[in-house]
Amino acid sequence: MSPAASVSFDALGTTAGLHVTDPEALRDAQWLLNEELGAIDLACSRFRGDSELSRVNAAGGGELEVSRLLLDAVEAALRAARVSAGTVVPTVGRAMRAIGYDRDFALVGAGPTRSRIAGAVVPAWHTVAVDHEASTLSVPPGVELDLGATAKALAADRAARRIGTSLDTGVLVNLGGDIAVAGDAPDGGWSVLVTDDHRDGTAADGERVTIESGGLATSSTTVRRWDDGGGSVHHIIDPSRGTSADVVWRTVSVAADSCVDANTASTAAIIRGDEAPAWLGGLGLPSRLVRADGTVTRLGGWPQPEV
Amino acid sequence: MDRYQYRSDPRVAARDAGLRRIYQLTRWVGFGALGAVGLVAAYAANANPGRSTSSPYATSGTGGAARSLAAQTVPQAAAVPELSTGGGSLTPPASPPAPVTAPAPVTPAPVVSGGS
Repeated sequence: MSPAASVSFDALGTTAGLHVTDPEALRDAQWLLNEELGAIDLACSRFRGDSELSRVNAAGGGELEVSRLLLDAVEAALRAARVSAGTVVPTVGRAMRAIGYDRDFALVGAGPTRSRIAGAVVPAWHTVAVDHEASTLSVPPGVELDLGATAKALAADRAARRIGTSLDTGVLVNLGGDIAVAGDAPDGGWSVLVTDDHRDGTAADGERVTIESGGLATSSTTVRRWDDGGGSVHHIIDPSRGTSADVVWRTVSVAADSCVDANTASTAAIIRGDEAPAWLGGLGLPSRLVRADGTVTRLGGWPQPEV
Repeated sequence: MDRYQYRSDPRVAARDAGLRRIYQLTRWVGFGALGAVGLVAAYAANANPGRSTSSPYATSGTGGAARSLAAQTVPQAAAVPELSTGGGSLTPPASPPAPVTAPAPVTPAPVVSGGS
């Protein structure tokens, strides 16, 4: 198989990487990826006033007619809540604002928060309902949605599937460390370095593995971290407490059948803390968990590092 | 089981199918252009002995009509292919991650999975 071609660029507040096995497909693949990213951003961004999600959150509850894309994104988030037994939920929007994550992360910490509110109780996720036939989303009053745990991974899955199908090429889409693959992988698989911060590049400490299908995602408490005036916080909310999860694992990487599943599992593992290995092991998900002191636990067939 | 089942918007499905046909046609046109240029170069070489000729072979992927995909506007969210997610549990990948074996796979640009 001919060598792959790739391109990277900024998108969704992070770095997007696109890799295809057919170099001739790269330009069209990038066009398709940009289309998907633009659509997801317009539908699901919490930080742009013209997004559908912002309109939903500003409505203060009710039944709203929204796009199919937003319905699919909320449905994916509700499924994540269900399969994670309520650990990874989309009803953390208000809690996010309470800890100061009320704008694009690049601006968090650069000045006073615009919407400082008291500590928030996270509403039950099953109070949110999606009706595909009516194209409506029902949200109780006072509930604010945040799709950060699933929307980026969903975009990676959608883009990879669409590129692989439309252009008949193997493809890997990487959105800030959330990876989805489709089509035939290159010989030997796609080589991926798993590390704490996706921005550190291939010189970072970590482990290198190869993947050929599904998705791989890494959640970390070390990247989106800031001081909210009352101490250091990070972006992964424990819904049982309405604030940042206690840090048992600084980084968790999981491989799954899709990037959404991988990211759901890696995020849930951060929140579950000491319960994470048993939970991930029971699901049979290949996982790599790194404690704050650097100790690594590998589960579900995650390969041992090269010597 | 395919977790994501596209209930494709007919317009988007038609466009993606058209894109695929254009992509395949362009590849064949490119190959044809290569062959045509080769024939022309051979003829020129024979017609003008002793003179060097250059053969401007078409670069891969540009031998056909330009595709003005960039001119297409980003569709509204409603036009994006619809997904339905299913499955009551998190599912392992069809093939789990594997160790890197020498020689390392050819991935010309770094792929990094880290926190973001």
